[in-house]
Amino acid sequence: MKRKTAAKLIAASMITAMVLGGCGNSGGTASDGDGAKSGEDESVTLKFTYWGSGDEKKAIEESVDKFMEKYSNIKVDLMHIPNEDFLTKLNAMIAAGETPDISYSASWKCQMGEDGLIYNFYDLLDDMDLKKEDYLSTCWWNWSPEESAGPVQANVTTNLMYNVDCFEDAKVELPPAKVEDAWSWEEFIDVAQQLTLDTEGRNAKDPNFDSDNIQQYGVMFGTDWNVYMPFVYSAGGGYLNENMDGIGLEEPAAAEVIQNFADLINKYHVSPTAVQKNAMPSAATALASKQTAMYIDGSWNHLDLMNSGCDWGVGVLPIDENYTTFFDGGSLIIFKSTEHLEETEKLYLWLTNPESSERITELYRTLWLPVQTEYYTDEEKLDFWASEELPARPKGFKDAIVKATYDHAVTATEIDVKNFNEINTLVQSALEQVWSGSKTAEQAMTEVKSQTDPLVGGTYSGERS
Amino acid sequence: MSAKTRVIMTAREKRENKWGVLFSLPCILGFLIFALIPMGVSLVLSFMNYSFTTGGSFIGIANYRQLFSGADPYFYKSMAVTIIYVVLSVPSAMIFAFLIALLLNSDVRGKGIFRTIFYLPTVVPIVAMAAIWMWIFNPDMGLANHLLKGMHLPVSKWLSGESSVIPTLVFINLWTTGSTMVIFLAGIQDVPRQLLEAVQIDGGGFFAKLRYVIVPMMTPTIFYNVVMGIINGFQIFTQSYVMTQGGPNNASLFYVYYLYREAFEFSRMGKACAVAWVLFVIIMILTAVIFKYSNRWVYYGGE
Amino acid sequence: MKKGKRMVFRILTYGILTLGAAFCLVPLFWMVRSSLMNTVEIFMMPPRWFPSEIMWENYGEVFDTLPFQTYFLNSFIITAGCVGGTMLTSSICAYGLARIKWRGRNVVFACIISSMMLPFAVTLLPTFLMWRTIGITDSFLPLIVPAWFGGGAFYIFLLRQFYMSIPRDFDEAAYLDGATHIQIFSRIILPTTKPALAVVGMFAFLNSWNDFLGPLVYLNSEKKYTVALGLQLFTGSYRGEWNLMMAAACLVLIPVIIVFGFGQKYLIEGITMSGVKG
Repeated sequence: MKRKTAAKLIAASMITAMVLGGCGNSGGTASDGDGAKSGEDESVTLKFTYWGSGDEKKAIEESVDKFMEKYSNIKVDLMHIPNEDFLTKLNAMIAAGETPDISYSASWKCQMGEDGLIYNFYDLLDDMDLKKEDYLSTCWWNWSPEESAGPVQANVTTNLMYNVDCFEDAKVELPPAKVEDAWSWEEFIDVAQQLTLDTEGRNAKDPNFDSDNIQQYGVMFGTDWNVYMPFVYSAGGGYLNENMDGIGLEEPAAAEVIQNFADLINKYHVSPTAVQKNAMPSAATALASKQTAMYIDGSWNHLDLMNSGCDWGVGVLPIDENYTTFFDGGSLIIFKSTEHLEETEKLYLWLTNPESSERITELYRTLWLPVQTEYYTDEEKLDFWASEELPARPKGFKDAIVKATYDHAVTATEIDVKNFNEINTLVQSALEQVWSGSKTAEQAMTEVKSQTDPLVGGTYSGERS
Repeated sequence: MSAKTRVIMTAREKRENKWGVLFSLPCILGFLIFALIPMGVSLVLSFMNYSFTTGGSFIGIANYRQLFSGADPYFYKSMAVTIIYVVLSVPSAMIFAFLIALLLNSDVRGKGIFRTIFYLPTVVPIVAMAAIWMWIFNPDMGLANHLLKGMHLPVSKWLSGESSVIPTLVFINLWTTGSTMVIFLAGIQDVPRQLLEAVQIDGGGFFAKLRYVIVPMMTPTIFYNVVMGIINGFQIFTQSYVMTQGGPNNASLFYVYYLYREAFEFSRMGKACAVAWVLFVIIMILTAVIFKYSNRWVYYGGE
Repeated sequence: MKKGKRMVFRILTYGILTLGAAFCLVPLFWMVRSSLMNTVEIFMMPPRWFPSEIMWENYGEVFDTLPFQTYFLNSFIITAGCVGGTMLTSSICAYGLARIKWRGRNVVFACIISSMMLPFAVTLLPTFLMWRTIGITDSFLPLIVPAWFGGGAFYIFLLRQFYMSIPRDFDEAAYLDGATHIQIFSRIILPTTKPALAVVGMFAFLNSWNDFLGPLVYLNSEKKYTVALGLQLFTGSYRGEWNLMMAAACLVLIPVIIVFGFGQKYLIEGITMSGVKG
């Protein structure tokens, strides 16, 4: 009896170990089998890592399926990784020698370029029959003048989105769509005040306005660099100072812009206390539920706005002088470790061509903007993705988004500033004191300099950003 | 042990040695493979400027010097933030969990239901939990301030305020003390009935039972929970990773989050290993101190 | 007089318990109500307690959007492996460390305790590289195998505490009767500490079920993802399908509640432990 119990325990553990071992082994042989099979009909397998929402994921999956149909010898292993953990995972894969062939990438890609992990896109242009001039000139992720991680792929820009009903209810004129009609900041505040309502329906201009019980805010905005930098550039300021040996956000032009945004929260009470993004509804949700009348953030929100079913529109940013903005977004990087460069290039072309498949086209009509110049200059090509007949392209889209950005674009901050990821992490946490009203923009940005400035290494283009 | 007994015990000692090692073999191997070797590797890395992608070279104690010299201000900042959190959260969680366990052990109806309710929060996936608390504590639209306003009480910025973020996280931590509570409960139920009855016969009330029987008999459990509370408290990470990203203005930049940021966001694995080793040594010393003084108040029935 | 005092005590007990229960339940309720709303209603100001229209379809949509049934299966496999390994090996080791006196025992125990204090971020990469070196990637093994080597210092420490509190003379008597350690362990210690083991099993289940970082690092192909990873997929930085995420979170919770329902019984059996002591 006693012996039995012990024997049982040991037997149980052995069986479990065998089952587990078996699982692992069968998994191992299965993948070996794949490898062998692929050798036979000379097919290759590519690994592609990417992030994105459910809709984006589905679109990528379906269009990659189409790709595999067309090129039957290429199999693509898709790996969807949550955005927040992307770099962790990618780093772990690289360290383990499991580097993907092609991947989405954010500003950390330039470091990978400098470390020699990814292809210089300029070297691949001829292979893929592409020309540098085909792309918007401000859209290149370069880590040196001759070395590039490629043009932006998931292209977006900063814009002003609004709920039409909120404006109509308050009998306020809709935001202008043309740059020449853009509001000044004062006009913008005025409108925001008229659109901020307390629970009794009084707006922020009313002397009895109760700022503790707000029902609808005038404006919400993302608090990251992509929102305030167009305003900083337009005001003649920069993320870096003139000598590019330190940040320039504490200088009067930039500090005033940031302070203006903070004043929307703390002085005018037309914006909610800026909090971490998890607690906030997305721009589409906030607009659709009339929590806010206007929202300044990236154009990727258009897809959700389309799905939200509310009556929405887009306007130009409230910048009435020297309108400056940028295109921005990740790019697809090709790793040098790939053994199938030719096939990877095919996949690259497929994913970056707005017309390669239906689902890709859909993405360029909702989530992204193209980066190829012809889609901006050729009227027909422009209509293909920007026609205001399309559900995610509201009235004024061509003026407020396409023309305003195309005519007034500089290179985006994150594309140009070296070491941006790390510098901006510090800047962003210091800015939280500004949003909460405990410090002025100038104070906070002056104080953070001691930490950021040792990290500042100028820009990749060599020009001030 | 005197020399005489030693001689007598030798045969048994030998056998005991054999069986002891045999029984402990899985965890000895586990310790070697999954702790000691990785620890050694990370110790080596802490003397290098190692990055994930490019490898690195030895740079001596430069990483440690950078930390302790204050050249990286976030080192001391994160240390301070973490210590404040531990000091606040461990006692509050202990008292809360002990109180609930005590009440659940008394003669109440619906014990099972209450127990389930108190334990439930610990099983909610952290990603979902984080989102819920973020919504509830949203200063403008959240439920917490909505209820406070309804009762005409002052509102707070909760997770969005530099001074309120740590207390709020301590509060949220109370929500997940279910496992601590369960361990206490198991411990309380272990308290001999006879002793409690003896106190009752002597005319002692609830507090006398608590003071003279329950607490002394439960010292091993309390000891365990305190040690675990401190260790876990120092390693708090997910809350700030998922909810506050260390903010606002680094007010919740916990030590392990700082470590994670260095390792995975800034790709400075070498420095991150140095950061980790400092934490490791701190926790080691703390635990050693607690263990050293434990025999003054911890009572083991077996010894 | 004494009766009145007891009355106050009762009211106080129930009062505190009810308040505490409300504190525990409100966020859970919030999760459930959010799972039955559309994303717009979730964020309405002022907050709404109940959905204006109950959207059961969110639950269906969870499975349309992501292959959650696969994630569930994967999580079950991993969790079962971990719980089995942890319960078996941690109890064996705890016995070795608590009830057998052998040379080096304290050193080993100190080592194991110290490994509990090692921040996970440090061991993560070296361990990952180790698995890679022996050629095991994109597999459940790295998530399960450590459980078969003691299951983690946490559980060993917990069980050791329990085993130490059992009077020594009990198994000393058995020992003198000629019982081996295997017999003492399996026939005396194990049965008397079932509740403790149940607690360990429950904790192992939860840890493994809700583990996020482990699967994130070790699993590469999506068909091997676990539920905890799946949840995160609903919220990219471009979009938050919060209602679906909450619906999925509710589903993920169901097995856990069932496990706790069973585990509870063992906790009550802890009362028998004190009987042993007398």
